[in-house]
Amino acid sequence: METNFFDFFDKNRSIQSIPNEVDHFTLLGVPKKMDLDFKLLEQRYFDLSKKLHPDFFQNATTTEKIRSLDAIARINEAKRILEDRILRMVYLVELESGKLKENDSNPPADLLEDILDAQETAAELECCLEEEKAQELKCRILAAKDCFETFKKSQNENLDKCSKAWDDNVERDSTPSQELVSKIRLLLSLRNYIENILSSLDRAMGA
Amino acid sequence: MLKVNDIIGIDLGTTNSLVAFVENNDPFIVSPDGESNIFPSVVSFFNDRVLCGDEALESRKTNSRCTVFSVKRFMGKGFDDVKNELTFIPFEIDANEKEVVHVKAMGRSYSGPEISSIILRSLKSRAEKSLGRTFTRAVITVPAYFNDSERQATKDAGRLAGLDVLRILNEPTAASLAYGLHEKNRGTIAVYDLGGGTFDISILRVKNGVFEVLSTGGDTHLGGDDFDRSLSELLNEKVKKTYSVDLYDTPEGISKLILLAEETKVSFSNMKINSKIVIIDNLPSINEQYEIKITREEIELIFAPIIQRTLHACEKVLADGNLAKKDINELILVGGSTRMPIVKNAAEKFFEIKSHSDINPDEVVALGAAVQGQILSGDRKDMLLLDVTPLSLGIETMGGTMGWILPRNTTIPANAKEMYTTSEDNQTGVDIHVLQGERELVKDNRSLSRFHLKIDPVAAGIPRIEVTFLIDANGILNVTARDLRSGKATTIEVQPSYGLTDEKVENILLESFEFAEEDIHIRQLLESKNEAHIILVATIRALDNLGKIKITKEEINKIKDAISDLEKECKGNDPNAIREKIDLLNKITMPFADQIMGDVLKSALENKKLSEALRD
Repeated sequence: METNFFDFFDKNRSIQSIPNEVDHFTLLGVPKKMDLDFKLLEQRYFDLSKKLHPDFFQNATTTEKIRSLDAIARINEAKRILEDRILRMVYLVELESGKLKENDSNPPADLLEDILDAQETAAELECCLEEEKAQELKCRILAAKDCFETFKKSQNENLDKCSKAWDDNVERDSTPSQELVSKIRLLLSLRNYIENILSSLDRAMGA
Repeated sequence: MLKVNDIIGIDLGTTNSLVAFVENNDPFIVSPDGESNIFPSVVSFFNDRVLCGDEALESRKTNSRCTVFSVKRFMGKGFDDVKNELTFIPFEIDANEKEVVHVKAMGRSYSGPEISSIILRSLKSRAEKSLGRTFTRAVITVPAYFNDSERQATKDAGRLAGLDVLRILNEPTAASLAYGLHEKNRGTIAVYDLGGGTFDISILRVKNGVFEVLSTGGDTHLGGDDFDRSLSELLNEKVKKTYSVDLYDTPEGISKLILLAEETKVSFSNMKINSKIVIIDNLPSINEQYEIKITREEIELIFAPIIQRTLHACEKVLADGNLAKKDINELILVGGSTRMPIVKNAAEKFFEIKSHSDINPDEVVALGAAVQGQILSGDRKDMLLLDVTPLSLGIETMGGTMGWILPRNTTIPANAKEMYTTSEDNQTGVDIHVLQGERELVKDNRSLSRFHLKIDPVAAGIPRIEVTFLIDANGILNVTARDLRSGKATTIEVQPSYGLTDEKVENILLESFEFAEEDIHIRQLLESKNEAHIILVATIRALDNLGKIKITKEEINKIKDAISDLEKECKGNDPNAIREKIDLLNKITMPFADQIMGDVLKSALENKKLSEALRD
């Protein structure tokens, strides 16, 4: 596979404006894959920052000033997304197969009962005034959290396997199968769902 | 090709301010012959004159009602934010000014930026006097934990002082630049900065001249002042016990106790003593001399909770950066309060390493600001600073909760885009409420401003407005919006929650009490450049995002020529010539303004009252 690069400078060596459709991978000049070479990313990021940072364009024309500001903001955004494993996977999947819809995931079937149970316990805890009872409810929430964390871990392993399969396809210059894409999309939605549950439980415990 | 440095670095501190400059790659503090490097951040108002610095500090005892100190604590704040502090403030806060804190002195109200601008102007003239040249460009430092309003207020202060503020720089980051200059150190650095009124902790990674901030945190209301206040309370309690007098009853009493507390704190830092007799005299309300004994143990006991708060922030910052204490290779102590042995020991014990203090902790921030100035001037190219935003950015969503846009510790400049549409037919606008903070609920976060997006009345759900939230290298938010259906820029009405509006800044400039002849020229120049900048940005952005708009190549080239003419003129020093080129660009783009630039440019063009008024 080939890595795409964006040319930040035109033939007169002045900064170009970056079209909206240039993707994060191309912007930073790293392979469009699920797996990321962090060393390469850092190297490219520092190189680009040293060339394009607004600090070096204070005496330039306004055109160049604005473009350097916009370019670095885009580069920083690209780095922030690509550095994070999950944000990177979501970004790449959305790039190749369209936006993941928010809230369209269904709870994992075999956990449905536990989730409902945990949410009920959390609601109960919120209006519980007895110290002893509250302790018991907290214990139950902690146990549920453990169970969801285990689920998350197994889903994470699944995601790893799928992203490896995706990258294998990409390296052979073939498109990942529809089945694989759907599977990754589902896994990411499930993960999002379970993360939301976990953080809502954390909030209930904190309050 | 290196350019000549013409940018001063200013540490605008709560207690003291300094100005620095770099010559021959060497940063140094600038002070007129025979004067101290340190300039007290104090302004004293009299009927016929305004004093600043050491002279103002002197009059703190005699003119305490009209002597303003620690104004930095009020920058970017509203009246409600500071009303709990009023007991400790001998000068008067104007209770009628709710949105922006104003100080009342000699029958007039002054906003925080106005008072800071008096200090900045003095610093500017100190630099000019001792280096024998004029300066119009500056880097000004702020606590890393300052929010958008506090940064904007600082920038406004610079503008009011006739300075083009090229960068609002974080103090701990500035300190690391000053250190990085001498030691070509690599590794991970913690900068613990406890100043007069604020606390910052920043973790940076330094590699091949790139200074990358990994995480930052702190408290903008925690510093030397808090030590002074708690010690003055202790003194007052002891006076009450022994002499049955409450000195907090009069402003002079409070002022006196705070000054004595500060002196006592310093003597315990400088001397290896275990106790001290504090003498309270020369107060109109008392006719005898009070003697109070204070021990080191007592002081350390009341200071411990304040120091503990700094260590909590340190823990949070390590966690944010996914770092453990053992990852930190160097510890830099900054700020006058780190002179206190109890503070220094606590920081060293926390990070489990010895601290650096080879550079004077009072001067290191200003020196770093000057280094950043040198970088911005184009005179130094081997260093680059990558800083972060200290607070998460969000917008109000349904039910009064925060919708996160950018997490804290995102490298700046940073941007995020959000799409907006309408929920009702013929809706003519959308309101966006922007906030900063880490809490779930809107009411617990800091309101930055409200934006009103104007939308053409069409069926619900049809408009597609893309709003870009850009945090620039100063950590200041810029919001732009574009209608994706037409490609037009969309007007945004900005209502800052706690800041001076542009109009207010201009009015202050106009009625400024010190309107020297040369000042007028510099102001005219800065304002015409400011105006040119707004118009250039709008035009260039519009040309870069033409979309579906029909315009011939020839017409584009004509506009581009007018742009570069205006840009060239902006390098010069003639405000009238700049105005002429603005008018020319205006004339050329007018036929297309409706089509290309939408309302942004039109409103930018209308917004030229100040330069009109300044034109003679």
